[in-house]
Amino acid sequence: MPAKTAPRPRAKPDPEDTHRPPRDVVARLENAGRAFHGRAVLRGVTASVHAGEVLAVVGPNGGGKSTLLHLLAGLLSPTSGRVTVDGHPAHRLALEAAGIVGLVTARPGLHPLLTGRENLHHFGGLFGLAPDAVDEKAAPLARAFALSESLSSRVGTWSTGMQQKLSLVRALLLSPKLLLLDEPTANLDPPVAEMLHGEVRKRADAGLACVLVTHDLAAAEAFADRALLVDGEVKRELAFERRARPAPGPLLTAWQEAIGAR
Amino acid sequence: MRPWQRIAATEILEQRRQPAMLFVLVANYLLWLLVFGGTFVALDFVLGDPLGREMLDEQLAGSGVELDAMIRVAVSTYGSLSFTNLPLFVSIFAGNSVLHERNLGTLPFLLLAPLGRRELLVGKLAGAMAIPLGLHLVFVGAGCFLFGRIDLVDDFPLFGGGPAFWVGYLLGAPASTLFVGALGTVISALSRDVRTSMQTTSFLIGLFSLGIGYALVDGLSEGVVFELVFAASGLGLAAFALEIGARAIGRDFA
Repeated sequence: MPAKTAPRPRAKPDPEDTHRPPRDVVARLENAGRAFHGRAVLRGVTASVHAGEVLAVVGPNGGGKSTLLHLLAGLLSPTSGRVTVDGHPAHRLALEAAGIVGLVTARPGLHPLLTGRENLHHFGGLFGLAPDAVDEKAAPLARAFALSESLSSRVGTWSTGMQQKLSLVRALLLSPKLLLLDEPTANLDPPVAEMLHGEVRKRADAGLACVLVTHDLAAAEAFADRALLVDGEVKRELAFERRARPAPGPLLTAWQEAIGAR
Repeated sequence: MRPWQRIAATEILEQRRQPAMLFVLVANYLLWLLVFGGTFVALDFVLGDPLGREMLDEQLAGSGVELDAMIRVAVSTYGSLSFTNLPLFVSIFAGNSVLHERNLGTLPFLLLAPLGRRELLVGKLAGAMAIPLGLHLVFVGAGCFLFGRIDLVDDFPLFGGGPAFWVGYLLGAPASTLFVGALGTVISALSRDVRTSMQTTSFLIGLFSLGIGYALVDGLSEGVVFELVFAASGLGLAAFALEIGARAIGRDFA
């Protein structure tokens, strides 16, 4: 029987966002909506993301979860309402505050013919980081994700799990204030998914604001502080009580012991 | 390194990692060099012998073909084919450039960077241009150098190394290719699937690439001014296409 993991020091979230000090709010959606070709995908969403929390966004396919995430990333502009990140209109982030948002998508989004290091140099370089600076920032992250030995090989030869870990390294490279994760574990085996979720939780506990779009309700309940149930609009908002992270089952434990997370 | 330069550098690095593709590009130039070079050398050899020349003249007369006209057509065809390679290769690369990022899933990460739409297009275009331009400079230059030493064809402007040739070779071809490449890049940014992009790009190749090759080579006899105007037109049209493209892409590009 595996030992139960000790409870994480997680503050009980305040359901009344407006009572939080303004500095805690990293991102805010105010009555935000988005339509495509006249069809509203998301309507009247009002929500905040705070430093040090993981906000899960769950809901059915086509319910607007990824649209909500793209609004926060500034990849889409709202057709109604307002979306801000760190006080900047989200759709102007790339010009006004590039690097304060990190993004991880279901597909790793890497260049397969380039090595892991070259990928990081490329994406870091787009933000003005010299290769040496990228290496310096990436080294501790690569160690944390057990990628240090692999960075010199081409990403196309890597497993999906390794690619997704590199995608997370890329997202954290610029020390963002807001980390957006769009079904980051959709194609991963359970130990790697567990490891990624754990790393995200660790960063949130250190003060990072995270938004996790997922279909994995168990992961949302285990790793998030709050959740939005979204289907065209916010149907429910839930805050989770501080509780112990559920112990991994015997199969996951055996997998982690015998194979590890790679 | 500015972001557009970083995009171009990565594009070039990816192309360098595909040796089979580079081999095809080089083989294309080598094919024309060998086929036409062999023809010119063989003809030069035959015509250097009075008996051989007499026999060739007789055979051509029987077919109603004039020797000088045949050589002119051969030189013009070689020149057009070798000058067409640059816009041809660049349109193929450019037509898949931004779409490639979309297909890889890397486009959202580019759009998070402090990078304007125009800068993205310029970076992609520069990346699509670099290797084909290098091949153009090497192989078209080599053709001029080698064929300029064959008595049969050394008087032609294409091989004589006159000012019009240098303007066409160094300015006209790259500038007009920038225009075709810019159109290809914009198409690849606006396309959502490879088929649409490639079909539209193929249309461009047919419409512009062949025209550019013939115009540049036939324009050599028109002189330097024609080649300069051709180059300036290419640059102007490329800038216009990029500007329109950057506006057409819009904010919600992802």
